Amino acid sequence: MSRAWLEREFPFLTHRNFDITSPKDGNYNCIAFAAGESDRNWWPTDLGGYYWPPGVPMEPTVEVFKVAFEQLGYQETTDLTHVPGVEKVALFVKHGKPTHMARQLDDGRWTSKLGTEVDISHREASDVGGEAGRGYGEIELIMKRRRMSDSS
Amino acid sequence: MAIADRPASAGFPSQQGASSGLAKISELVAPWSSPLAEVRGQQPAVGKLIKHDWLAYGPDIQIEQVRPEAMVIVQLGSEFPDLASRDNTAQLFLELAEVWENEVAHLSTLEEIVQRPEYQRIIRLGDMVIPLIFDRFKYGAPKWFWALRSIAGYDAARDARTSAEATAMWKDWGAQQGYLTSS
Repeated sequence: MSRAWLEREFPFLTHRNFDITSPKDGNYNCIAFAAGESDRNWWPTDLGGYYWPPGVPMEPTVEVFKVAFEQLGYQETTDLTHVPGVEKVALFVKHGKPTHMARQLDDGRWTSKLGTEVDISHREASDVGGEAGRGYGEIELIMKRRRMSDSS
Repeated sequence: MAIADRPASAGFPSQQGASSGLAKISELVAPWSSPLAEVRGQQPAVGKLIKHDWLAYGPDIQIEQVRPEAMVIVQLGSEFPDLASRDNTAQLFLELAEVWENEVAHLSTLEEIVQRPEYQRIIRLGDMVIPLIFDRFKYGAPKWFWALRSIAGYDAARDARTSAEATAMWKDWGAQQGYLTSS
């Protein structure tokens, strides 16, 4: 996946606002990456090889994703700005369904795993958004927790 | 016009006065349900057979030295029905997989990934495509777990804790079931 491909697929990504930070890897997805993992896919399913926190309903809804990340110590907020010592994640939805999560780095930029493809860092959380079939839709939920370590 | 009695994957006999190289087949005249599948060879070009759906040819087909504008008639479905069917399925699988992988590469939403028409069609091809799915693991295994479970009716990676574990479990299952020569 080239930068040009990414810029076509994501209407708000430009040559100035993102960097590719990893090789392609299908062994983890954006939800796992937002949770700080890179060896499995997170999704609310009982499919073997996928993970979902025990006790959290297996339904792909915003509320269920909120519960899952509450188990990691996150709580809901409305503020996307960078606050030193605070780690934030943003959940995107399209047509009411979760599509993506991005995580804020300790320098204020954001990082996203793009499906089975690469990780990128991007200037604003919304850089990977977009409607009309391109991008991950709109940010529906923001959560924060105290930054525990350098999890970039 | 030439008639080949060999299966498609065996290639064609040479044509007098023909150019060398592979022929790109651009049009299929008769449906696969017919015992006589008729294809039209256009300008000779190097490349693999593309652009078909239910056509019964394998990915390694080499149609040699077909003249420009020549018509090639291939007898299928009688002498080598299994071979023709297998090659047809393999080619169809590859086409569907490539389209699907490109379309879902940036997605994490499992429901959207597995509900794509191409993926659902692959599942409907049945256990004949299981070895092909394993071969596709090199481009990313987890997105194939749903198809394997759907086709096998069994989740070999039910207890996996990581993607690597799940991949290994499916390969072990594939070897045990005879879909892989080794895990």
